Amino acid sequence: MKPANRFDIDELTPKFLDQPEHFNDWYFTVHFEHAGQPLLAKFSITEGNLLGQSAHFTFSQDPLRLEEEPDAVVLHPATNDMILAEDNMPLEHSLEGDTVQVTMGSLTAFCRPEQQRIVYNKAGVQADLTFTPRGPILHWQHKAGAVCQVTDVTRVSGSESLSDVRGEITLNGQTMPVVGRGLFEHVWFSALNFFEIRHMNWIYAHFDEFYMYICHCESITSESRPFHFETGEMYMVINDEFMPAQSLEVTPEAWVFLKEARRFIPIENSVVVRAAQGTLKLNVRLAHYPLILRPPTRLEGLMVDNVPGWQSLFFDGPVTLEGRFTYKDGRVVPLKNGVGINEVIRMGAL
Amino acid sequence: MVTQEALLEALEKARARMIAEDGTPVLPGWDRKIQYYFPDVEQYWAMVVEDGHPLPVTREELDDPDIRLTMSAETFIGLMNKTLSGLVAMTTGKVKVKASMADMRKMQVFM
Repeated sequence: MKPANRFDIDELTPKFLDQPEHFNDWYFTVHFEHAGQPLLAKFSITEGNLLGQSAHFTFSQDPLRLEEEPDAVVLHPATNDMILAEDNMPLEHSLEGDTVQVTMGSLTAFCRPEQQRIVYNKAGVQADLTFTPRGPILHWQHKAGAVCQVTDVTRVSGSESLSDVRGEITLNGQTMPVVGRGLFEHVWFSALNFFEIRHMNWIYAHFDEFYMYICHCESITSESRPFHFETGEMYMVINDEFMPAQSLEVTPEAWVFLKEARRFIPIENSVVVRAAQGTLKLNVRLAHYPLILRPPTRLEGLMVDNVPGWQSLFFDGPVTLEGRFTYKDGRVVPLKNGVGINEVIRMGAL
Repeated sequence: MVTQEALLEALEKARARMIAEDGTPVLPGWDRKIQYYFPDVEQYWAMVVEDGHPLPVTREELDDPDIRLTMSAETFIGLMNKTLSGLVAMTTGKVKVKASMADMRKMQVFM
């Protein structure tokens, strides 16, 4: 059954605040152009003791700075990206009428079932953006509030709204009108063991004709057994068709040396998502410098299961996408103007 | 500068987190020897857990702990006061840990 184009109030409200462990995020992104340049702005309120409490604004504008070296392509840091974080700020929240209001630091989200608004007001940066779903809200495990067992321990619920975004952003006195596409997400969980995760890709994508999100996670259980999780949903805007993913694959096709992390990351992935109606095939390519969510870390002092020394990587990679959806009856829909984010987690031995 | 009183209070908080409000252990059936080392104050502390019940903390260096936690006393107090998250402390190198994957999860109860 096709999900609704609006949220339930329950999907927007903070969860598990009375639990000893909890996490909520209200996450907004917008891809837009200004003066002919592709830009990405991201606003996030993350609450709770599982991943740290923080209000974030990120603005990405530089194209990739790649340098060919004899044995590798090296990705150099962006020089003009802005990352403003306000850590350990209190969360304020209220429900008035049909509006869930969430404030942390300089960020305030006004979440209504049919539309969401994010307002940012800080010295040198102001933003006021309204997010309207392009179609059905997508859900983790195909149901609002469904609890997904992402790893042995980790349980995640979440809703993803692929949205049209309107408003403006002012940086250092320069106001940019925003007409773009983006994502509003609320994800919540009360159990996480980050150290079980070995490999995670979460991707959302907008095309003129289509939108989707997927999540794929490989992890290790407490008994050192492999644990697999995948979920995803797609919506063909032009045919008003909702398509839950039945299976998916994300395969790196090319790698680049991320100097900041002193390691390689995929710069290009191929993605295949199968649904009852047909198969999606995408080429996903990093378009801007990764937005680092947690500094790439060498955990030299961590010894788990007698493996001494670990490294972690956790970033949002702004991506451009190309591809097509092929129906089982042979019809092919080429997909145009693909933009999105590929969130990446990697945990492994040093 | 961390006082000895604050450090002891934090150790007691870690211990208290293993007991639910009704007095039952949060981790029943769990038997472990946990070694804390605070290099800034050069102190070893031990907490032995029997069937989920934490015994009183003792100032000693254990021969064969199941879990080793090394951090500054200030970091430990931050963790116990919840001004610092365990994950952030670990990923920023403020805490050194030696444990099994199963115990990493259990540690979230008292870290």
